[in-house]
Amino acid sequence: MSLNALSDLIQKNDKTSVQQVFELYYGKLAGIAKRYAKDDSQADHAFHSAFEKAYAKLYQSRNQKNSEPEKILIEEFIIANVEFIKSIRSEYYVSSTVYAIDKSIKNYDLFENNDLIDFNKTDIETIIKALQILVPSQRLIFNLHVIDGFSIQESAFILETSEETIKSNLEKARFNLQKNIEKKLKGINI
Amino acid sequence: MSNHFTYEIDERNLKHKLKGFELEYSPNAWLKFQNQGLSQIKLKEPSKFIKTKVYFNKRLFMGLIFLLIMISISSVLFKLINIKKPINKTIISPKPKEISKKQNKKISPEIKSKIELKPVISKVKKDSSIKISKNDTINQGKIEKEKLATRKSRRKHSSKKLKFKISEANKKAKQNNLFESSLKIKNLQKIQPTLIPETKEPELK
Repeated sequence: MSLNALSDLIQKNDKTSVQQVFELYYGKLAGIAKRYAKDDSQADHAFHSAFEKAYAKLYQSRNQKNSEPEKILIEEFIIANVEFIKSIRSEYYVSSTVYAIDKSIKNYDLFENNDLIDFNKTDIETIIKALQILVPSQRLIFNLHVIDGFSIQESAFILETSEETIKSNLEKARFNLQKNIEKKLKGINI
Repeated sequence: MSNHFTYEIDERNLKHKLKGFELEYSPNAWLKFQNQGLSQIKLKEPSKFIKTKVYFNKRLFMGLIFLLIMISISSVLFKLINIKKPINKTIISPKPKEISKKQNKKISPEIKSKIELKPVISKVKKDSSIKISKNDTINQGKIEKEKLATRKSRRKHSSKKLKFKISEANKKAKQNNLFESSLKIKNLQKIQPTLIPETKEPELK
């Protein structure tokens, strides 16, 4: 869809135009919401609230010159998604400090399941599952910085934390993601 | 994290995969959204006034608040405690109010009489002998007494003057006598060298 067509839809400001925008961007935005959430139900809730906010922002900035409506919609949707997950304080602040995995699951046998894993050939579903297992603070920073391309400063501003915290969380996220993918591929229940 | 950890995930590839990840659209999704989300959409008109967004840095903001608190506390302390030495306060008496003519009229007659009487009495003393009429029968006794007193005083003055003159004359006479005696002594000194010393002390045989 061209930029002009999208801006025309926003200018109309009626139910049909909202539906058209929804239909057009549902796949992309729902995929983003799934990456940021811990499961499908949370992704659904996050999608609804984030789409509302993103559309409202898009409508407010409809008269701005040199604006890219698609870019605005996606960026605002990501920020709204982050805000939604951050708003679940019981998860965001508690689970980021407590390691949820049970120690009894750990296997110290070095010769068991020591096959080489090609991470580049892993399917997208396992990657998303591995991402969803991460604690919210690590999941959010990995999504923001690595996948959506926000800088460290920008993501620190969005997450309202210091750059040092962001960096340390990013390191932890990378380590845990690899471990999660390994476990998923080896068939270990997490 | 262990030291032996090697990050093997190719982030570029991962980014490419996840960026392209999309879910399929189903009409149920729109119905769900219509029931949950669409009713809550508020399409706000952007306000005509220029919106200004001010972003506060947390640290700066807290620092400013801390500074404000410190300044307020210190100002209160400065007000309570005097560091400077206490200055001896000189009590400046207020200037006496100038009494206007209207106010002057209000001054009690007693005070007025006290002020005005003094010069009047002196005048009376001086001119009492001149201005008193002969027909004044009421104060005649008093006048006579005053007359006697003035006479006595005059007499006293005159007798004092005489005594003074006599004493002065005596003094002059005494001075003259002294002068004469001094002259005699001088003459005697002139005579002495003419005398022979042998005659002064006669030999005893």
